[in-house]
Amino acid sequence: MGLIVTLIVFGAAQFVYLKLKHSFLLPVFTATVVIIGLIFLTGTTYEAYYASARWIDWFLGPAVVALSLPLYKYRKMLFLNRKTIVSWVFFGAVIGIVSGAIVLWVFSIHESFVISALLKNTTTPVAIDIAAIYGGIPPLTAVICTMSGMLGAIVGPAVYRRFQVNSDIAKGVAMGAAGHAIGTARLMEDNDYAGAVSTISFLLMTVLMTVLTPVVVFLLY
Amino acid sequence: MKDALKLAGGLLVIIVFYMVGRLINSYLLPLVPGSIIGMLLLFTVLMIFGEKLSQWLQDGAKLLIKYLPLFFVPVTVGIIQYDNLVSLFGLFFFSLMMASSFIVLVLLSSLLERTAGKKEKSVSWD
Repeated sequence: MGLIVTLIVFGAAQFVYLKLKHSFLLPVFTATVVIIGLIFLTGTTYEAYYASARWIDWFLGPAVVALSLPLYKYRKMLFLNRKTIVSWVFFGAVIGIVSGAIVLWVFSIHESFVISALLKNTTTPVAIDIAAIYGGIPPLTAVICTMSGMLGAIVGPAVYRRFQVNSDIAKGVAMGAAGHAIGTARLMEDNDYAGAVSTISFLLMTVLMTVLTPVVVFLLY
Repeated sequence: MKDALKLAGGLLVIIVFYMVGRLINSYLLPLVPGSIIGMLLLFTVLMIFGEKLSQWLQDGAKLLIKYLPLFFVPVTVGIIQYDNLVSLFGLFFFSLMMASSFIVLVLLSSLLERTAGKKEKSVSWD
C-alpha cells in the first residue's frame, strides 16, 4: 500500500511541478508533505507505511551508480578543473562544520546530534551508514540530509539568480557541497555539465566528511 | 522496440553493478557503501570500454537520475517518527541545520563565481 501510494503521489507531484515549474513545488518535497498528511489522516504508522515503501529506497543504490555516466561524459572538463573543485569543496566542508556542528557544540548539545549534524551535507544512503558507525542517530541523519538536499534544490536556482552565479562550476560545486544527490538531480534538469560538477562535488564532500567526522568528534570531545 | 530493449538492458547493467558493489561492501569494504563502489566500478569499466558502452547505458541512467528524488521519499517521510522534535530544541536544531546548508550554498556559489568561475577551464568537444 505504502509503495503504491508513494508512486501515485509522486507522479501527481511531478505532473504539477512540470505544469507550473515553480521551485517550491519540488516533487520530493510536496510528495513527502502529502504522504505525511495521508499517514496522519488514515491513522497508520510510519512502520506500516515503510514496510512496503522501502522497496523504493532500494533504487537509491542503482541511481547513485547511474551517476557515473555524467561523470564519464564530462571527465575531461572535471579533470581540468580538479584543483578548483577539490579546494572549494573542502572550503564548503569547513563552512558546514563551523556553522552547524560547532554551533551545536557551543550550546553543549549531545554528541549524537553533533555527529548527525556533521553529516548533513553528505548523500543520505552514505550518511545513514556513517552515522551508525560513528555514533550518530541514523534516522535523524537521513532526515536532515534529505532536508538539506531539498533546501539546495528549492532555493538553489533563486540563490544563483540573486547572486548572479552563472558559471557551471560555481553552480555545481555549491550545489554538490550543500545539496548532494537531491540538489544534483535538480541541477541536471536543466544543465548536464553543472550536474556532473555537482556529482563529483557531493562525492568529494561525502568522502571528506567520512574522514573528518571522527577527527572533529575527537577534537571536540 | 529497440529503444525499450536498450533502456531495459541499460537498467539491468546498472543494477548488476550495484549488486556487485553491495557484495564487495559486505565482504571486503564495509566502510564504503555498495552504491559508491558500484559507481566507481562502472566508471572504471566505462574508461576501459569507452563511448560505445556509455551510449548504450545512457537511457537507463537518465531514467534513474530523473527519478532519484522519488527514491528519497520513504526515508524523508520518516521525519514523523520524531514527534519529540516538535519542540523548542527541534526548532532550533532543524533551523540551524538548514541555515548552515544555506550558508554553504550562498558562500560557495557567490565566492567561487567571483574568483575561480571566471577562469574556468574547458576543453573543445571532439
